[in-house]
Amino acid sequence: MSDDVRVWIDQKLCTGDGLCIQYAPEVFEFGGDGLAYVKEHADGERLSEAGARADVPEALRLEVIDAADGCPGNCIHVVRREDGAEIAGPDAN
Amino acid sequence: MSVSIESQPRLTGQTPWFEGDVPAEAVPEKYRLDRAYVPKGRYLDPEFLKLELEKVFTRTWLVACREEELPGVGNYVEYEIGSHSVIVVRESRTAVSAYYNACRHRGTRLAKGRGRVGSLICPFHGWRWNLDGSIRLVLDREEFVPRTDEDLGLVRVRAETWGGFVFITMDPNAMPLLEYLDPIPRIFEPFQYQNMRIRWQKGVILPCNWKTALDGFLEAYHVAGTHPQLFRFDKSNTNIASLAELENRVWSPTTTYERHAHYSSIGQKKNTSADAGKDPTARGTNDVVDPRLSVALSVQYIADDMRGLENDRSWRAAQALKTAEVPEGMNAGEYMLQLYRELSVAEGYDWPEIPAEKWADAGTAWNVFPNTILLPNQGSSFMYRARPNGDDPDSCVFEIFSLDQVPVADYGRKRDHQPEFFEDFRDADLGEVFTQDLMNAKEVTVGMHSPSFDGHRLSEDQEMTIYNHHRVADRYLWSE
Repeated sequence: MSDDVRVWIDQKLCTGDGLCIQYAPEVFEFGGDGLAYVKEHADGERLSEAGARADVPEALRLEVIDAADGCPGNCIHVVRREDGAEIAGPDAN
Repeated sequence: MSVSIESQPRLTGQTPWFEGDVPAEAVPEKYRLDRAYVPKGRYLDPEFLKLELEKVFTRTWLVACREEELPGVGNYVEYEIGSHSVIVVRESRTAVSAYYNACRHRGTRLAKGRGRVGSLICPFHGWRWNLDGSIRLVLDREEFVPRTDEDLGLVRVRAETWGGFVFITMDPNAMPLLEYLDPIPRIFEPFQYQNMRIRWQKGVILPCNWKTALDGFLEAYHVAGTHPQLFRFDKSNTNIASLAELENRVWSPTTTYERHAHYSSIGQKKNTSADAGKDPTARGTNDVVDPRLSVALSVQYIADDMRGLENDRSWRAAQALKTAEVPEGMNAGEYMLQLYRELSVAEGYDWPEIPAEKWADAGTAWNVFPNTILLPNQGSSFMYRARPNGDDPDSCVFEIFSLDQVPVADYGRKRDHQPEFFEDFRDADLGEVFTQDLMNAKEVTVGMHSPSFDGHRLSEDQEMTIYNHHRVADRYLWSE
């Protein structure tokens, strides 16, 4: 199975800490409301819809997993692209 | 006593004095230094510790952590000294900053220990700061008296780096770090501390003054008495040294600079002179006829027992030396260094050539004033740090950092690091040599409290590093 992953944020639980943005500024960005959102490219538009999913470039996968592991709101979900299984985040086992 | 030119080292054989030192009469009598003499009140009086915390630790540059402890933006390490807590944080890929670790609202400590955060968030009422110290969030700010963002920002502590160490100072007017450290950065340049990383770090509580913990590592005069096995073939024999062994004792003269000082282990006292310098090829084991084995056993004992200053590569080079054919015109110690170099280069390590005069300048162990010791060696090093433990002059936190050079390919690589802490050093698995050293801490302290003891009577050849600390401390203690 491929290692490709996608990431989404449950904005209802986001604390606005910004740790994810320090781990992977290419993937995470603050919105005007102080909450974190995802984007698909470093210089791309952030996906402003709550819970939107973004593909994670291979080179940033570990950073994004670390961001999910360290997230103080425990609200970053990293899922396998192929079958949707959560590999990091509150629903990972 | 004669006056020397500032910043010129004071060589062995006399009690140091430098231009700019405070005159004896400016120091209260009970704390006054005399020729090679340090009164015990400077170690035992709670009042003296209070003065040190107010005047020395707040005005000097202090090693807070290593840069590799702050691998990512938002990684922080808390540094506590006396009643102060400072937070050192990686603010960006290129900048490390330090702040007083106190909320601007009601003073709460913001972060403890170490970790990684996106912003600094007060655990009490949730005020938040960006990593650059600027205020990000005050709940119900309209209920407070209007205050500028500047007034609500975290208060900076100066932070500068050298050799991979992050230093802080609470004195906004302190001289720049590199000037403060002189001559250490010049002399240590070929040892490339910036390319070393922490191999292990252990902290223990010692039942002695913080300076007593350091004093034990600031001279090698104690080696014959404390580490009798060090030059024996049978390292498990820790019986007190025989008179014949004392006859062959090593000699380690001290050299003092304006602020810092070091000792150099340069060989057997009976066969050496003060003109000699530290020579990394001159080492060995007594009564071992084969010089290859003599050198190899010495290297391997330090590598195995202390787990620092030597490393896996120097251990393997020593192993190869035991059966190697030493080339004509070379001694076993020189060939050991060559084997170590060849092995290191083959495995991707940089190997700067360190000329004899650089080794002589570097010596064996340095006091980085006030509370750190560095032992320079090629490829590996130890750092020791001692801090007072609360307001008890008879207790301190003592830490050992074992540092190893990493391969060139790993210079940019992040590493996991977790320091270990032990209430009792006997639980810390520190090996025979460190354990012997640390066993002295309690004995020195008990004896110093005796009414029969008035102060340290120091060797003017081998213990002026200890005196020098007090001489320099006087400059901070008795001036405004």
